[in-house]
Amino acid sequence: MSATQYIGTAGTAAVLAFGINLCPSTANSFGSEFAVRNISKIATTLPASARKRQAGSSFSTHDFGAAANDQVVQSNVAERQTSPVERIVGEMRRWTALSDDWDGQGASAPLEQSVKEAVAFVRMLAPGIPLPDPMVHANGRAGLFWQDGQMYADLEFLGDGRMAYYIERTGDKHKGVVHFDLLNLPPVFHPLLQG
Amino acid sequence: MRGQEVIGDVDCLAIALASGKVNPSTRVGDFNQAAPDCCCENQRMSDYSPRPVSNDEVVTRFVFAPLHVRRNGKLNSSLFSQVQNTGCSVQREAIATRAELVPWITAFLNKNGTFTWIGTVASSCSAIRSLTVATSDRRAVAVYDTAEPENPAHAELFQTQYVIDEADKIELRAELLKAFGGGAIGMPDAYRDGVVWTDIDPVLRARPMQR
Repeated sequence: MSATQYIGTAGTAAVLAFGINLCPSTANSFGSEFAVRNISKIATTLPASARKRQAGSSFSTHDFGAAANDQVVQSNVAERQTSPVERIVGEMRRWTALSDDWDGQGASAPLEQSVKEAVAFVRMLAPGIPLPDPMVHANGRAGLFWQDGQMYADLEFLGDGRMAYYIERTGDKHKGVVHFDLLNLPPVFHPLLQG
Repeated sequence: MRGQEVIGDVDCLAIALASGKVNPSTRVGDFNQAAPDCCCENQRMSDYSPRPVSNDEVVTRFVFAPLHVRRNGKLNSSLFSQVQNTGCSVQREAIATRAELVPWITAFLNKNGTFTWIGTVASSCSAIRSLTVATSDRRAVAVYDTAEPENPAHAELFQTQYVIDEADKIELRAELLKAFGGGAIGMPDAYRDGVVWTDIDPVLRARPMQR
């Protein structure tokens, strides 16, 4: 097995490298940065360029590239499939390539801050629960969408630290705007976060 | 003909031309400010328009962008998010001819190599005009006749001035999604029994949907 394996497209969505367990639940970065868990376990296998960053909470793709170029890293850790959450995050990150009029009807390009907030929300979702579909609106804001027989939920990330929501569940309707505090969301969000 | 579109101080044709001129994303808001309470619905909004949109008409929203489609092949609500800012384009079934639809669809698909004719959703105009959001009992959507030179069947959905909060806007998208069939997309080869689909260039018909 090669030392570095990229999964997904454009090298953006999901990267498995050196057996690092990329942590979807704690990352708060965007773009080419990846949060890592258990980084201490692999620190000794990384080249100096990468070790410089081990104390931080994020890990740069440049470091992966440096490691691959140095050809000093080998790993025996088994490959891991891209998780559904990582696929969603990858899809949202690919939106950075979109420009104005991505829909042919005058939509604005996706707003980076809004997308970041949506990514952060997706990373909070408990494993095994129904996952949302990511969406981008004509105003450039990112959203998350659930619709099945039991629940309809539509979240829109306003890009200013707030999130608007509309949720229908068991005959009840809830809507409002909340500050985007992942640890203190109203109870109506619990079914989305925990299933 | 000109002059029939004036209601009191409201000149619907002039407002339609001026709205969004400076900033297209404020078109709906501009329009509501100049012509509140859907007051231009009974007027022609374009020189190319045959007549205002009546309640018994059916309007169709075409689905071209893969980002409007969920992993399970159904719609997400973003298909209707333009109702808030630029206006949500629809085709009037009673007016759109096959000869007009084919070049219009072809031109749209040629704008972007990722576009494909994914399908259509439709609703009656009366159902759309009856929509409200929970915070107001006033109408939430207007349907305006905004015909274009090459597309005289063009109409648009605008949210009204009674949809104010960000959460109201999301609720309105949910209501529109329900009015247009709940998320199920009609296949293009089923639209008008396939007669439009068969006239589309085979190369465009064969385009895969790319997410």
